Amino acid sequence: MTETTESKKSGSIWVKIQNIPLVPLQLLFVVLIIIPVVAGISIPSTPSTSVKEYYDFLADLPEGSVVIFNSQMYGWNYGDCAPGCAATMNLVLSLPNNLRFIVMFVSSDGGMFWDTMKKDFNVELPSDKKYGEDYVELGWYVGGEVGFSTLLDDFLTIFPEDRYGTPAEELPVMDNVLTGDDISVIIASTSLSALVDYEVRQAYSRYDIPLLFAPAGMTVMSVIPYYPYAVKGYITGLTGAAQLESLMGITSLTSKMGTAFSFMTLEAFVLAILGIVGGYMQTREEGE
Amino acid sequence: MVVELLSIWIPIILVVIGLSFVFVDWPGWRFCETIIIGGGTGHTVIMCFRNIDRTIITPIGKGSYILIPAILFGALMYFRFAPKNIRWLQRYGYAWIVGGGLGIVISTMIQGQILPAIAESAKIIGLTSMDTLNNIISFVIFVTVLSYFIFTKEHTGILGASANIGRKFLMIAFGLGFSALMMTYFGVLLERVLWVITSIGL
Repeated sequence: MTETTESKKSGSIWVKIQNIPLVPLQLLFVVLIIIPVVAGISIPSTPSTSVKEYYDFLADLPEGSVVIFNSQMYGWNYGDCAPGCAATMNLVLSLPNNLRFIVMFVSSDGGMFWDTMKKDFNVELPSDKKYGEDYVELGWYVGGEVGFSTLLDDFLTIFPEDRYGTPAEELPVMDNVLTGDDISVIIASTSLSALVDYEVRQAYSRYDIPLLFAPAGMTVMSVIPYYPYAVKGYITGLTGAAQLESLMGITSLTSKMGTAFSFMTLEAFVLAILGIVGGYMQTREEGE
Repeated sequence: MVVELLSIWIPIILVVIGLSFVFVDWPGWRFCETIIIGGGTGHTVIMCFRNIDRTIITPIGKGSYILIPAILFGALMYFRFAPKNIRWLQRYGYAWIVGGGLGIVISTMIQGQILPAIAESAKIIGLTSMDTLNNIISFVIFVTVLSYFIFTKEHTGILGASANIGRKFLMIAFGLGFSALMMTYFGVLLERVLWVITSIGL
């Protein structure tokens, strides 16, 4: 009787699924991600409401408004945040309302990763835009919330010059950008929940500045509680960036990544379901 | 030509070695880990010095002497490495940071986070039926999860049932959080894999 049960168990499909070696599965997982990119397979992405609001908010800003981009993109979250940064920079600098785009970084290596992002995603200034007049990279601020609070009170104390050493007074894009009162919107790309909270506390609460977010997937749960009263729109990680690009009508590396990401999620979903059902069935069989 | 090739292949090899940690922990992986930590620390130290020069030393040189006490209080934090009898001086540096930080956070937390969140949840006019349903669900989750954390009374009867439902909501939230974390990991992995295949010209 025991022998019969044992043989029944070892023959069960669920037991076999549980015993598939992990390494070939992991390699298969990576190969299946590559195939859609190499083969050029594209899944159309439909923009969500929050992505449309993100786009519309920027498009509806008055002529020459000041847009601050606070980037917390670094090595750990680069893959999920960089597409959002690239798509946002492309959007802001291509809109007809001539927005002033001011970029600053939360961490010391923010500038380095910003440069990498521009190279990897082929982000270039449009021919009618100039560095220093329409766009500037200020560098990084220290002190987290305290630093952020101080820069909203007095921008020039924290950023007397841009990251290349040009004094702020010589940058036309910085004209009349002195305090939080001069800022139209702050966009943040981050995987840090604390950054979301402190922007709401310092920018929205003290200066009533509307916020937009391009968070990593893991951080979107920290953004949603402030939507829509403080946060006017958000694009979630890689998929949000791909949706924003589809709204803008452009196709780039981000769109390809969005398709590969969809395949990846599908694979993970199938594997997770097989694992859960397999584990449950195996436990049930062992109990019989 | 050689430099160009190396600038492509060295990062690719390092990325592949980095990803190999999924399969095995080996000296090659530790070498990569050490490069990241060493390189990252070196970069941060240099950037910190540049920042101190930009925001402290240069302004003091231009006459902003008000910044000198800030340097002194900041330097007090290094007294944690001093002999024991004067180590207590470090507390003044920390006291400034903690006190100032708390002052900035607490004053804005109530008006920026707590009150608007309550106002949004309690809104009943001009809402769609879906918003009303959302608000009701949020309220139920709020009450049941809060009841789970009441430890001064035994979880029996109504409190027990409520705490039990609250526990389920917590599990859903943690599961959602974990899946969101996995999505970020997927994005990071995907970017590196695509970068490798793009770099080798596929």
